[in-house]
Amino acid sequence: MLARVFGTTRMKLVASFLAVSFIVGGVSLLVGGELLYQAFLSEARSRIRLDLNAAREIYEQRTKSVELALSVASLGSDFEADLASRNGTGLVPTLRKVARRAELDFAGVALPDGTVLCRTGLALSASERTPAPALTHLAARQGKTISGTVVLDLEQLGRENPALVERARIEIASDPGGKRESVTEAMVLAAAVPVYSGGSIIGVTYGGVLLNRSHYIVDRVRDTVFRHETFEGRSIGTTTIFLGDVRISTNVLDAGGRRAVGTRVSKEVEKEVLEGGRTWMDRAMVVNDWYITSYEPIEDVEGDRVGMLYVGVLEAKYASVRDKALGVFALFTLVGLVVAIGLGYLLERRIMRPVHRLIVAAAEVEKGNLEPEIKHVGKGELGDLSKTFSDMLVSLRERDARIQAESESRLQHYEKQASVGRLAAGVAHEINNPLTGVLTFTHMLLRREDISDDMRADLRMILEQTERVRKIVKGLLDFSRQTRLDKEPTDIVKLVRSSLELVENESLVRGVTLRFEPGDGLPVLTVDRNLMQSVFLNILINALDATRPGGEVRVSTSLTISPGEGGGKGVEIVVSDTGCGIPPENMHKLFDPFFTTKEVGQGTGLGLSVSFGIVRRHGGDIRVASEQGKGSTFIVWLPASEKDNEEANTGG
Amino acid sequence: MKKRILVVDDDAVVRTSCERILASEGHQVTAVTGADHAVSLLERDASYDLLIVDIKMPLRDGYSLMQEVKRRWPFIPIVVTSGYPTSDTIVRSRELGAVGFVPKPFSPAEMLDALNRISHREDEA
Repeated sequence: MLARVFGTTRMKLVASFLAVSFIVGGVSLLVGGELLYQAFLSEARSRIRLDLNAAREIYEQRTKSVELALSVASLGSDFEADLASRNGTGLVPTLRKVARRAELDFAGVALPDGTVLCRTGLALSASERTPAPALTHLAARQGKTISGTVVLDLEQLGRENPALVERARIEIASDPGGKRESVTEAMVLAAAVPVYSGGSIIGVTYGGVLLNRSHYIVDRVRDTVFRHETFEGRSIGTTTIFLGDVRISTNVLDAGGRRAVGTRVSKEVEKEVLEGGRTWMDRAMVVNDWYITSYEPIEDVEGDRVGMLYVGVLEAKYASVRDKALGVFALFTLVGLVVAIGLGYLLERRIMRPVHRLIVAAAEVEKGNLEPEIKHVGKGELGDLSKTFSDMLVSLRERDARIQAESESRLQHYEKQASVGRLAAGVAHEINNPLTGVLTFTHMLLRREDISDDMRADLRMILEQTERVRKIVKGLLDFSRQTRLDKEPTDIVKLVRSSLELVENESLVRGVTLRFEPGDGLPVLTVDRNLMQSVFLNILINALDATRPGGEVRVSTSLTISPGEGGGKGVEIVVSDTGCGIPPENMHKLFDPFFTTKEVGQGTGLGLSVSFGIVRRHGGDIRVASEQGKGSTFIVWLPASEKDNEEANTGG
Repeated sequence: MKKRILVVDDDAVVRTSCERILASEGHQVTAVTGADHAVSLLERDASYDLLIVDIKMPLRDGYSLMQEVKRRWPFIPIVVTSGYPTSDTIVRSRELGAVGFVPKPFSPAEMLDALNRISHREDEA
């Protein structure tokens, strides 16, 4: 049942369309989606490269601003004089003012020997000698301003500004149960500006900003580069400054929505960027989300890699665009599918409905209804098919009607013959008794010598007419009686020829030409020669009777196939005349035992029906074709039995 | 040789015809209308020289009568007449022991010819 449903043309059509839609849609989805995604990724990569550059720029600007502030503070004769006289207390207010303006976390002045003269942080006792940050030594040694990233330990940071230590200390998030660690260093953006007097360095002004937990730079990058772009409530762009592999300043948020300070970068990134010193450019898992990321190493003033700068764009945004695109593709595909189904259905209706109608009609024909209703099927090949089908039905109907008419007439004929046979038997029997009486008493009268000649003549007339009645009754009995056939192998051509010889004189007298066209290679038939000859004679005499002087009776024999079912081999004896023909109204009465067109006394009407009976009993058939005024053709068909065929084959 | 002949036929005109034909030749003829009548007659007097029997008769047909006659009076020769002489009738009659067959209608000459043939055969036998 299921196979039947799926085997229908409709399903096949729909399935084909579906397959096409699926393939087109699927390929679009896969290829298009991937291409689109790759395009987005590449766009995101080039963007992130620019963003990283921008972040670097902002990072360096901040360094520059520190440097600039310190340079400006170091200018002026008062500063130089105080430095020269080592009046630390005198310098501190200036430093504090600059630090406040430039938002420096710490500032101080170092002496050429590397100790600190004064600082904004912890005040120094007069005798105290504390080392200045290493940066200042570098600046003093090189005699030029040094600025950049510097890593300080917390002790040193504490000296510069105790308030910063707590801010700098960052607990490192670790796996539960793991060892608790914390960052014990501080990353600062610092600058050291040497101060000259009379060509020699009399001190170095230094200062810096702590990057630990300072989100100025990262947020500035976010605000200027990503311009507050958000995706589902999150900023799509994030920036992070790493000290080593630990996030110390970031706007990447953890699952709780807090800045993910204290978390580590992935091992791959650490290895590639911190150890390898290369820029990382790929998608990466950042804290909780996938980002299109870019990392680059941060080197301190001495050229050591101490941390990383990171910029990332939320991949979800691109993925979402991709997903939307895929969604649109999928929608198109779906629409395609619906269209495919609809189209398949419509096409099926257009193509298959007419075909289906023909199928239904054919089924009707199979059931025997030769006039099925074939609705309008349309034009084109299907129209042609439908027309051919209709034509075929018309031929079938005609053939059927013909066969039916033939078999009906034949059937009626048999029935008539059967009932007439019984009737004839009964009538003959009943008539024969009184006839016996008539014959007996007439003869008895004729024996008497005391009757006149006139009376004798009358009695003879009675006898003659009684004889005639007797013959009619005998004919009736011959017709109804099924006497045994005395069959023997017979050369049918010879038999026909001998029948023709018997009517030759008759034809000469009538002035009718007799022509015989015997066929070749005819099988030997097993027939009752006498009966069959009487059949031929009967037909020949009928033909001669129907033909006027100057006409022609043509006889031919030929090998044919049975006109009925079975199609056995046989011989056809055709007798055609150029006579008056048989009126259509008489055609069906031809084999009627009592039918005759001849004058009373000329024929009994029994001839043809008897002939037909004889031929039927030989398994043969008599057919008649007639055109009024042009003549009639009687065709006697006799079957050749299997044995006869063998004889014919071996005999030839 | 004059014979005593029993004719069995349901039709009066056939009976009368037979009587007239056979009497004209000097035979002594008794005619009855049915098989049972013939049997009861034979039971009283079986000295008939010939039985002429019709086949188709009401109540009891000629075949049945022939069977009984052949069983009880096998020496009486039987001639069959029939208004519907088919090969079947002839064959069956012969099987039942009929010595002659005269199809109806018959003329006096035909009937007498048939009887003569029987007489010749009897003479030869």
